[in-house]
Amino acid sequence: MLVDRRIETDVTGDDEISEEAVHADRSINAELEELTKYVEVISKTIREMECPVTSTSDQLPQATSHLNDLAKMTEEGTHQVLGLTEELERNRGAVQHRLEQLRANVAGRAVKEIDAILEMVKADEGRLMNIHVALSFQDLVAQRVAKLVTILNEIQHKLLKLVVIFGIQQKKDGGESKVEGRGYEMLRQLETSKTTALQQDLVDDIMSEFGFS
Amino acid sequence: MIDHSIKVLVVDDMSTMRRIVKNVLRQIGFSDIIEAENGQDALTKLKGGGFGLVVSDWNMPVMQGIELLRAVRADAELKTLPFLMVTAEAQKENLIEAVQAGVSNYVVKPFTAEVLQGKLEKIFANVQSAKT
Repeated sequence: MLVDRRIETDVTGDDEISEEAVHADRSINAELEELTKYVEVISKTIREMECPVTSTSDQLPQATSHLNDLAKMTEEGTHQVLGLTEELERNRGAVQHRLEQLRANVAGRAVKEIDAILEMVKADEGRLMNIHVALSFQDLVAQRVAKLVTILNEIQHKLLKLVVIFGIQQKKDGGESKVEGRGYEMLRQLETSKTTALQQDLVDDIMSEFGFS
Repeated sequence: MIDHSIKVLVVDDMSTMRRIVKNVLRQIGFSDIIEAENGQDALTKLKGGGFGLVVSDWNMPVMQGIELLRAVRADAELKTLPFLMVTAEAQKENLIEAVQAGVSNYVVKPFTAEVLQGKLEKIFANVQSAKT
């Protein structure tokens, strides 16, 4: 648009600057001024974007790593519960077997008593299996976490594209970018807890130093 | 009637799910149970021969359950093998895709031992009636 007007003013052919040309120059200057202001606003907006974009693109890999840890933790916990229910089932089977042997060697009222106990022991088989199967929730959780990780990776990829397109300065090595917000604080706490969380035996040692038995 | 002496292949990328399905199968009466982590691993084991049933997840890395099913149905040696899909994919289109690929039955997670047993009984009843 500006170029078009410039051409229009240039093709008048007169050596004298016509009133119309002067008016066009003023108009171009006004538009240039407006454009400069606009570029300044955009530059300011991009500068304001720098911190959230860089901090978010820094935080996302950490967040996905914690999500993966979460899936791993539920998997380990589920295996523990599975192991314990398997032990319970083995014991239950052994108790049932012994009761059946005992039943063959008793008579009278004792048979009725053993039958009542056997009924309860047999009912526990189904309950234990239901506990077992209920633990399949872990697979569903892990699958959803995996989907969330994929989404976060995609967001991170898009943010990095923005960083490249707008030439946003990345956090320099060793330098801390100014990041704020509850999310960042929670992420920091999660990260710290990986190395600073106390194990029970260490807690007991420290407590015993303070005189707790 | 279910023939409990057959060799069963349990296919799932989650170790917890393989353990759960194996325990349910044991409770039903199966004792010869082999595990595979994905479709590719399963296919290699199946080609070794001797299996009478596949219980497979859908979502797995390397090779998905649906691809395994198609590979099984395309194999002259394996094409009649009973194939039970146990999956969290509970969309109608998933079910239709599995049926079109030749699945024997379909169980949605989370499931109960009774549901799994019921589906296996139906599968083997169909196998029996196909033989007669």
